[in-house]
Amino acid sequence: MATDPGLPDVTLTIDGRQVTVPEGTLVINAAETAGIYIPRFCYHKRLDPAGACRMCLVEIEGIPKPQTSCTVPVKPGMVVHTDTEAVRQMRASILEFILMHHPLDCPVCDKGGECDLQDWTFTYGTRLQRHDFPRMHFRKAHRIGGHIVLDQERCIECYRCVRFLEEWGEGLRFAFHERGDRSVIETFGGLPMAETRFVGNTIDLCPVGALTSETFRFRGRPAELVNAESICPHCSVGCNIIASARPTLGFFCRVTPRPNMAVNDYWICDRGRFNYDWLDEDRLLAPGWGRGADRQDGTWDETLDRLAADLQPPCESGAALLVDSSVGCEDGFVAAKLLRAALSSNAIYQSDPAAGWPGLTGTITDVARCDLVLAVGLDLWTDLPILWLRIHRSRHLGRSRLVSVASADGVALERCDIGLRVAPGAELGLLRGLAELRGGSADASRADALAAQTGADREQLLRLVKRLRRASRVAALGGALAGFEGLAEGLAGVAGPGGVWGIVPTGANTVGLDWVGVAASRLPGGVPLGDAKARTALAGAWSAPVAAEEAPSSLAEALETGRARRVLVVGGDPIGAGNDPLAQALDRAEVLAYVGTNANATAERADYVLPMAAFSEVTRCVVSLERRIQHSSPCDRPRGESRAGWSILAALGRRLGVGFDYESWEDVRREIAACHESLGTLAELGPRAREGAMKP
Amino acid sequence: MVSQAGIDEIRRLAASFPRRESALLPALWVIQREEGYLPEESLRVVARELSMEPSDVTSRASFYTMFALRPRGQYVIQVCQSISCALVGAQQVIDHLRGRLGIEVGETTHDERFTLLTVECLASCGSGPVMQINEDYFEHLTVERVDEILDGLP
Repeated sequence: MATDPGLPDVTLTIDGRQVTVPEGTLVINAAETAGIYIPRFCYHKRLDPAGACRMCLVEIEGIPKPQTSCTVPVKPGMVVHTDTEAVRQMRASILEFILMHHPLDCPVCDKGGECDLQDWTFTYGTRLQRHDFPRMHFRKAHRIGGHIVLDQERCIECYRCVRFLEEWGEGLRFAFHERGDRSVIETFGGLPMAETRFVGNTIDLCPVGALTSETFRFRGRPAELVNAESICPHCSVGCNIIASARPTLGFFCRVTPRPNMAVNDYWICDRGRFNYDWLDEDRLLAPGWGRGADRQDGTWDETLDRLAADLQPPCESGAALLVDSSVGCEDGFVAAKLLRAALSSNAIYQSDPAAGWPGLTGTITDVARCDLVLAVGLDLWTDLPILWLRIHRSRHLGRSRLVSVASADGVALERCDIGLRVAPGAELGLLRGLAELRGGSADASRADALAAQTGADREQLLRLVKRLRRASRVAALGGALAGFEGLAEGLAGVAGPGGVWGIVPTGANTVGLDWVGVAASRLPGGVPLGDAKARTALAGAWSAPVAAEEAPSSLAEALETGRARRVLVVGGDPIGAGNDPLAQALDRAEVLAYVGTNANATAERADYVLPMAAFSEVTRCVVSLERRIQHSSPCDRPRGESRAGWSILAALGRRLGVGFDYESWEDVRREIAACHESLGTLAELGPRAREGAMKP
Repeated sequence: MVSQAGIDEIRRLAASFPRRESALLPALWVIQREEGYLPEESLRVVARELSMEPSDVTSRASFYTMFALRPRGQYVIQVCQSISCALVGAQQVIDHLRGRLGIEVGETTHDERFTLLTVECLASCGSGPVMQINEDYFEHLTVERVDEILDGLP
C-alpha cells in the first residue's frame, strides 16, 4: 500500500536487522526493504490488503499469536521474526491446507513455471498430505469471456482478481459464489462476460493457474519464451509491456504488463494484451507489385527498382506520404526525408487527426493528481483505457472526479462522475462559458444562459460548475470528437494556470512522428517549413535539396486536387479503416505503394507491396501522449522477407539518388538527433532507459 | 419476471439507504416472495435498480442458504437437524419424508409439489422434532403426525 512520503519514519527490527520506513508501512513491505521477501499469495502491492491466504504469517514480539504481515503496520521498536521454526511450520501447514483441494495437475497447467503456489510449495511445503477424503471438484476449462479461461478447482481464494476488479474500475464482472468449501469464482449465471476492458490483468495477478489466457494457453512454458521490453503499439498512453515470442517456432506468444508507475502502473488494457493475432496471421511475407489478380511476388531489388522507376522525379504528378500514427520514429523520419529530399514534396501526413495540435502540457500522473478531470470529445474508456484507469484510481481513492462532455452519441458519457451531453458544435462555447464561471462570481443566471446556449442539462451543468469552482487543480483534455479549431485555447481557459490541458492524440507515436518531421508544414524538431535557413541546413546535412513548396492541409485534399497522384502509405490500413472519403481519394492514386505488415484492404489496392516488420520484430522508439520517449526492443524475427520500415524506405531512397546510409536503427537515430537540438534525447535513449525519458 | 409492484418496492427500499446496494438483501426477499426463488432475469433487474454488477448480486445471493437460486416446490419442507431435534428423532422424520416423497434432501418432487431441505436450529428446541413448511412451524413430530400434516395440505 502506498504511503505518504511526508510521514515520519519508524524504526523496527526484522530478523535482527534495523529497518527504517515511513509510518503506515506494512510489515511485509518493511521486510522487503530489508531484503527479506515474505511469501504471500493474496497480498499485492497495488491492491488493498486482504489477509486472506495466511501465507505471510510472522511472529511479532509481545503479540502472543502469529500475525499476517500484510495487514499489520509497523510500530516503533517492533521486533519481527520471519524465519523461526514456528513460522516455517505455519507456512508448511498453510500450504498443506491450500493444497487440500488444489488439483495436482501441474504438468498440464498453463501456470506451471510461473506459479507462486508451485514455487512456495517447493520452498516451504512438506512433501506429504495427511487428509484421506476426496478433493472437491468444480468446473475446469470454463471460458468466462474476455479471453479468460477459469479453472475453479485451482483457485485458492486469495481474492486478488476480485479485489482488482473492485479497486481498479472494471467492476465485479465475476465474483465469489457460494461459501465455505463450495466457494467458487463465477460470472453472472456462468455466462461469458461481454466487452471487458481490464480483466486480463487478473491473469497476471492470479498466483495459481485458475485464471489463464485463452490466447496464450498451451503455447509455451515461460522458460521457452523470448521476452523483450517493449511498448504497446495500440494507443498513445505508451504502456510498458513485455512482448514474448517463440522465434524458433515462428509465433508470437503474449503481451504482459511491465510495471512503470509513471505510465501504466502494474496494468495494461485487454486490447493491448490480447490483440496480437495480426502478428502471426495474414502477414505480408514477400515484396511484390501489381493490383489484384496481377499481383506478383518479386525480390526486394526488383520490386524497389520498379517502384523507384515509377516514382522517379521529375514527374508531373506529385508524391504524398501517409504514415500511420503507430509507426516508430525511425520509420517515420526516413519516410518524411524520402518525400522531402528525394521526391521534392511536403505532402506528408499522419493518420491521427490530432497530430500537430497542442498536446498535453503535463504528464499522465499530473492528470491523475488533478481533483477534476474534464474530458471533451474524448472517449477515454474506449480509446485510452489506461489513462481512464489512472484517473479512475484517483476517483476510487476519493481524490478526483471525471467529467465527460460530448455532442456525439456513444460511451463517452459513461464511466464518469458527470456526463454532459451538449448540442453538436457547442463544446467550445461550453468551455469558454466554464472558464468564465470558474473564475468569476457564482451567478446562477449565467449558468442558466450557458445551459440554454449549449443545450446541456441544467442540473448537470450546475453540478459541474460547483465542482469546477471548488477544484484546485483542473485537467482539461480534448479529443477529435470536439473538433480541433480553437479547442486548445478553450481547454487552457478552463484548466487555468496550474492546470493541465491539451489535445490528446490517440496514436502510439503521434507525438514522436510529428517531432521527426512527419507533418506537411513542419520539419524535424517542429521547425516551420517556411524557415529557409533550417531547410538549407537540412539540405546540407542530407546532401539533397529539401522541398520548399507548401502542401495541402490534408491528404484527401492533395489527392482530390491532383497535387499528389503517387502515394506512399507506411503502416496502418487507411483504405480499410472506415474513413470513406480518404479511401476513395486513395483509390484515385496513380501509384500506391504500401509499406505495411498485413494483407489488408490497403495492401489489396496497392500497386506495390513492401512487407514491413512489426513492432515486436524491430528496435524502435515511440513517444507517448505525455511526451515520454520510450525504447522498444524486439522479441521476434521479422516474418518472411519483411524488413524494418526504415530499411525499406532507405533502400528506396538510395535508388532515387539520395544518401540513406544506415546500417542499423542507431544510425537513423543519430541522424534524427543531428537534425535538431531538441531531438537529442531520441538518439541517446537506449534499452537501459526503462522509465523512458521526457522531452523538456 | 418481477412485477412492477415488486420493482417499486425495491426502489423504495433502495432510496431508504445511504448506499443503494445496501438494499440488496431486502430486495432479494421481494423477489423470492413473489417468485418462490431468484430467477436470473429478476436478479438482473435487482442489479440494475441497485447499480450493481449482476455477478455481485448472484455472489451475495448464493452465499445465503435461505435464498433459492433454482425453482422449488409449492411446499418447502425444512426439517431441523440440530442437536435437540436429533436427540428426539429428527433423523426418522427426515428418512420418512425421503421415503414418502421419493426424493433426497435438497431435491424437489417431479410434480413440483415438495422440496425437502434440512436446516440448522429452528429455535424451537423444547418441542422437537420440528419442521417448517413454507412459513409455518410443525412441532413434536412423529412419523404418523408427518403423514397427517402432508395429507392435510391443500
